[in-house]
Amino acid sequence: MKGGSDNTARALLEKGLARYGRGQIAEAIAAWREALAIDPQNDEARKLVDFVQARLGPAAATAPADVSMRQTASFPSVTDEPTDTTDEMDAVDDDDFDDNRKDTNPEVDRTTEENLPSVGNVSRERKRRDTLVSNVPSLLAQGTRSRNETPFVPRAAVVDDLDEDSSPRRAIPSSVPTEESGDSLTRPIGSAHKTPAMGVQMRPTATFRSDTPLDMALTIARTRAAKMVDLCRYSLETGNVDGAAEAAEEALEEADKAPLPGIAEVIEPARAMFEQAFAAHVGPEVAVPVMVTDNASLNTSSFDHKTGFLLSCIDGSLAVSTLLDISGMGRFDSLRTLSRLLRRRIISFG
Amino acid sequence: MSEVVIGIDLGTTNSCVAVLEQGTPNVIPNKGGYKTTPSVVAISESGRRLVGHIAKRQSVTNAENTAYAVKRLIGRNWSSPAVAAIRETVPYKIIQGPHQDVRVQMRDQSFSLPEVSAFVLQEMKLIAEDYLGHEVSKAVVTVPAYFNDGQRQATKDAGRIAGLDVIRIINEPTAGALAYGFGKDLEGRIAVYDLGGGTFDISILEISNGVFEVVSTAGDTFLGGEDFDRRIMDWLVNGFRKEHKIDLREDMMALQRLKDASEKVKCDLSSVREAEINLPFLISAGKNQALHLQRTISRNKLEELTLDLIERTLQISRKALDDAELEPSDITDVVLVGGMTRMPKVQEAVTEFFGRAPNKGVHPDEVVAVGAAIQGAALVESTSDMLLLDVTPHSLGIMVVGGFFHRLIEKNTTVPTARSHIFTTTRDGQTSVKILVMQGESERAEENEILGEFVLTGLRKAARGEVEVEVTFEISADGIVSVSARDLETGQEQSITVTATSGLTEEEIQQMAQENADYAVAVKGDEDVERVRQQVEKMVDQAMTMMGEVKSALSGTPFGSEGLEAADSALEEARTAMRRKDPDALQKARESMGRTLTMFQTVMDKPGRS
Repeated sequence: MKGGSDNTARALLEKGLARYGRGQIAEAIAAWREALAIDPQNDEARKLVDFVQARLGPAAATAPADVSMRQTASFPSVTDEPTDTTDEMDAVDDDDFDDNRKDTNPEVDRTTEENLPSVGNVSRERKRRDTLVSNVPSLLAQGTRSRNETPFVPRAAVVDDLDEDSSPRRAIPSSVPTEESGDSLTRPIGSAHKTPAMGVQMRPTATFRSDTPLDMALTIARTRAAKMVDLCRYSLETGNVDGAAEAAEEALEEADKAPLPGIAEVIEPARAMFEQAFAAHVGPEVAVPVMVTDNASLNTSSFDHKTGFLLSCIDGSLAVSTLLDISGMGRFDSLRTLSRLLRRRIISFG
Repeated sequence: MSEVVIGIDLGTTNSCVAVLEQGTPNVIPNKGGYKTTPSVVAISESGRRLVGHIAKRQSVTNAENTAYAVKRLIGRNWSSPAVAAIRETVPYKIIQGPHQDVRVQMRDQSFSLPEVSAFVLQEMKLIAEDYLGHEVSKAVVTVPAYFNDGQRQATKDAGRIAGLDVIRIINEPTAGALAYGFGKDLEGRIAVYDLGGGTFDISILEISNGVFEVVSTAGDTFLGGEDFDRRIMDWLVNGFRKEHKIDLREDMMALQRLKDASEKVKCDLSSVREAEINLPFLISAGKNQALHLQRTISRNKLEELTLDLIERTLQISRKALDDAELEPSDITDVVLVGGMTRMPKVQEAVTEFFGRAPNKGVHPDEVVAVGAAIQGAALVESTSDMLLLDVTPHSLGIMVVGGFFHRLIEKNTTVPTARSHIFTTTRDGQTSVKILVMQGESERAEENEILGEFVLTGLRKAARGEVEVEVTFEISADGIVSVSARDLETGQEQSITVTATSGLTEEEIQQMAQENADYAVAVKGDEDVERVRQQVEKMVDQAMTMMGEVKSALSGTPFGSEGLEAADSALEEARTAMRRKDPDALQKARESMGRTLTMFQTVMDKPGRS
């Protein structure tokens, strides 16, 4: 009998995947749940349900059947044709922005907003950043690039399977000269033998495929993280340390949320740059941070225990260098946490 | 003016430094304002050496690379049972040294125990130098009364490695009594009850005509304030487990915070009847969520949790009195030493036990260092008439037939001293005798420590018991033991001088002292570089603030573009230098940024600018 139920569960699993592939989220989840009812030990079905629900929120089960994953994958990518400039971005109204986003991918956007930190005006900032990311190539083409005039080209990732109609090569603004290696974009002409800025390794031929829903989810995570990697580098190059730290944090959060096997190939090469971004944001290591939030407000905030530990060490006498030594969580995580606390205005450096 | 000698209480858990200034003893606070500094040394992930409070604050989260309570190990042999026992209880790695000595491994480096103690002594030296404003090179360091020669020598070596000439090692209870009796005509029998952070010692001293003599001493090297902290911690952990079904011991960060909070609340309860423990975000309960710990503990609860620990100190006190053949009522004064004696219940128990209230005239955390400073001053000031006599901490003797230990000098004998005893041969026709010099209290020679051996040859062939050999033990004021054996018939003599060793060779000590001095210079160099880097950073910030105005002021002027290019170049140079932390480049950047700022200021101050 076990073999029989396996077959039925397998069939339901496949059915769910097929539905999910067509964007019929609720039907897909229903099929996987049915598979689980038949075979409660079916890990694959459980993981798929968990993943989709975690990714798309509880509304996933009742999501409209006509939302296609193809649309999900069309989240503005590094390689999309730019549509805005900095000036235009500043003028973007939040409502307009929301409207634009709703047209493209309601599920993913909603979930993304839900996952944002709850303190401050982060949501608005995130929208602005997303706009900026998608605009970076055009911004540079319009003369806002750094002093050495190195054209900005996304280096961390190339997506070639998201949209059949928009190949990355075509998406690069014509003003940015490129050279080719095989069938993918690698780096700007003239920088072939240069060490990449901020110690980040360029990955010459990364190609993200999306054969299954999980692959597709990974592709989305990679794409978003890659954008943040690029934004982090761009921000560092232009001296915007706040932006660099925030982009680094976004990329790392994207990696945290990504399903297994994760997106280490995007994050790991950029880790040194992220550390640099956090360090630059935190400032000199001899500086002494102080708490600027009262205990009552602090207790109502949400932190993990590592942050709690670091906070307990901030007593107005210990410098950053000492906190890094005693934090017990390594330099990278300590700097990241300090940067996060600084952004959330929990601490300051007087 | 005579040279300043600092007094250092090199404690198992905390250390303290004091100096006698114009006849008044002063305890010197560290940079954080605390008068005691944890005797904790750590190597951080970045390879930085951490000493004191900083090292203590990461002692749980970086437990493998944090050495504490090395005083329990110093001067001991690798094969000693104490070392084997301690190895089982500490999280840091204890390894065997090249001379059967004990070493500590932190990160990928191994450190001898005198070296680790030297890091603490060096910290105390720096605290004193910061306070006094000049270099300090001489110190009196205290050790427990039961320390043997090897342990005392290891402490002296630690001083040398730290760049200090330890002119005298004195017993902690003696130092405590000295501080207590400072400025008074002290006479009588004093009990020094020393409950520190990690150890408990009780010593009975006889003070007569300015002579301090340790009559008996007893203790427990694994009983102290940390045990009291652990009881509070256990109470908190168990309560939290009941409430949330989470074991806080499984998380090192939570444990570190609990440990710190337990110690703090214990101290608070010495002055208040109730105290609150508030640890927000103590342990994770999901992404970006953490549980808080908030509890109130009363003094009564603390006493209930630790009553057996206090009882143990009284049992040991009873043993010390028995050794001295005294009753509690024979004690004329009780001196409290160690932070734990601030606990009201401890004071109450001591009062009840001795039938008299303990003396509270001196701070228990500081009293030993103060005594050491008083002794230090007495040693260099020719006008001082204070006499402080050391005693031998252990009995000295030789091994005799049957494997027994024959004592020539009993423990607690005041030094300098000399004792002789006549022995005879044990076999017919015996022409030589082997003198095995030992130290210890056991009747069985094998259970005591061998200090050295030599052979007296050329004895007359005779029946056993006929040839007499006189063995003489001498201990100088510096604690150097000489043993000689003389054939009373022929006058032939052999002798040996026993020099205590810490387990390090002279070359090793010199090398360690040099490395330590180099490290101190390197740290100072890093601080200097950081100072310049900060100056450059400030200058860059200042220039960036002025840049807008300067640009507008210079626009269209012939000098404008040239000047701004130079400023840009100086800024770029400064940023690169700051990133690389290159000392030379930073110096250059400071100069060029200085010029840039002067130029900016000139432009901005130009008459006619509105």
